[in-house]
Amino acid sequence: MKELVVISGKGGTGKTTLTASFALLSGNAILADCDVDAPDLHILAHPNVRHAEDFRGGVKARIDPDICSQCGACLDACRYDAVSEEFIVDPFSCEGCSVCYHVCPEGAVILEEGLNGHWYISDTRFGPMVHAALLPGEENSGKLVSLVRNQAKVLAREEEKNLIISDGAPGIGCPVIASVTGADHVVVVTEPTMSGLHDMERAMRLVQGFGIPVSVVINKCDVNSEIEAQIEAFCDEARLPLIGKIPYDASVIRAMVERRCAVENGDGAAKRSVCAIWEQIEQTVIR
Amino acid sequence: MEIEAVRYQVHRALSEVVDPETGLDITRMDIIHDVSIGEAGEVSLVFRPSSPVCPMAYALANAIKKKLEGIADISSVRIHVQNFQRAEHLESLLNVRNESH
Repeated sequence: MKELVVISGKGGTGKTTLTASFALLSGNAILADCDVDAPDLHILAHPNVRHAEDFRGGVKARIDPDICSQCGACLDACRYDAVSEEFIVDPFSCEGCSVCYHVCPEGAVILEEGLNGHWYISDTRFGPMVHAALLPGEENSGKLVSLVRNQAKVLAREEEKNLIISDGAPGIGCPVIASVTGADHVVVVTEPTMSGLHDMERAMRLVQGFGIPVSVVINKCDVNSEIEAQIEAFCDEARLPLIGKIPYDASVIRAMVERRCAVENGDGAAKRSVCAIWEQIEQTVIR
Repeated sequence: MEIEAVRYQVHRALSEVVDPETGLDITRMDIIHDVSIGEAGEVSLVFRPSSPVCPMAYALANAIKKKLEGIADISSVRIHVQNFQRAEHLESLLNVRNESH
């Protein structure tokens, strides 16, 4: 079983668009949406949820007013200012570090497992998909990503699929690390903008730190030829395979508006490029 | 000793081991395979962490072994580790504990 993860560094470069197109072209993959903070793949995949479950990844403190002596130890110790003068814990500020639990001389602090989000197994027009969504302000996105990836593997074995395609999270933080560790190949999608280049370099260093094979795709490559050349130079110098460049194509935007993916509309330049990229991935990664 | 009864106990014990990374019990994670139980209560299984670099592999393997050794009808537990970069090292630690029992 192979696991391909698409990440970007910068948000909005076309990760989900490319992931959905890969899923459609593969025709036989399990999908995993690891962007649990702001999942979007379901918008293109049109899921029918077959299994839904709560995600509880951490604890929140609560002070029992019947036991609390209002000594103030928790108020002084809390680094997140989560305890009010009335000795009530604000759940949005509480990080679940449990310092208050340990410093309370009365044993009035209770650590309760909170609801952090939900995760789902769905049937989609691209095939089965595991996806999730954190609730607003909740933590532990890395844990939820690990859960999504694990359940995608379980599903792949159950349904005898040999490929998992994951839509990774933007940035280089915990959810991205959880998205890529142990994967077989990572595709970094960038765009020719200053932030696209900057964030791609950071994402690349992260992936290379884990020793995972990685390749680069430049999306909307023709919107700035100067930075496009800088990205190419970076790839050359770092000996990174640049496996494709996708030109700006208005048909992709029309496809997005219609909740379709880039390879479903017409026969434009973007579609041809994405298909060519997928052929390369099939030959070099999946074979 | 009823092997099927022991198998049920083994499954129940394994379902009490929760992976702190996902919050799921390990029987739902497809990381335990090929559980076999001998006439004398010797149990062997394959532990396949969800990633070759799983940071919880050592802790989970240890928890699995402890849980299974807590079942009265089980005389020994042998865990084979697969799909993990340090499988050999982890197995050697588990086997040392096994031999000392």
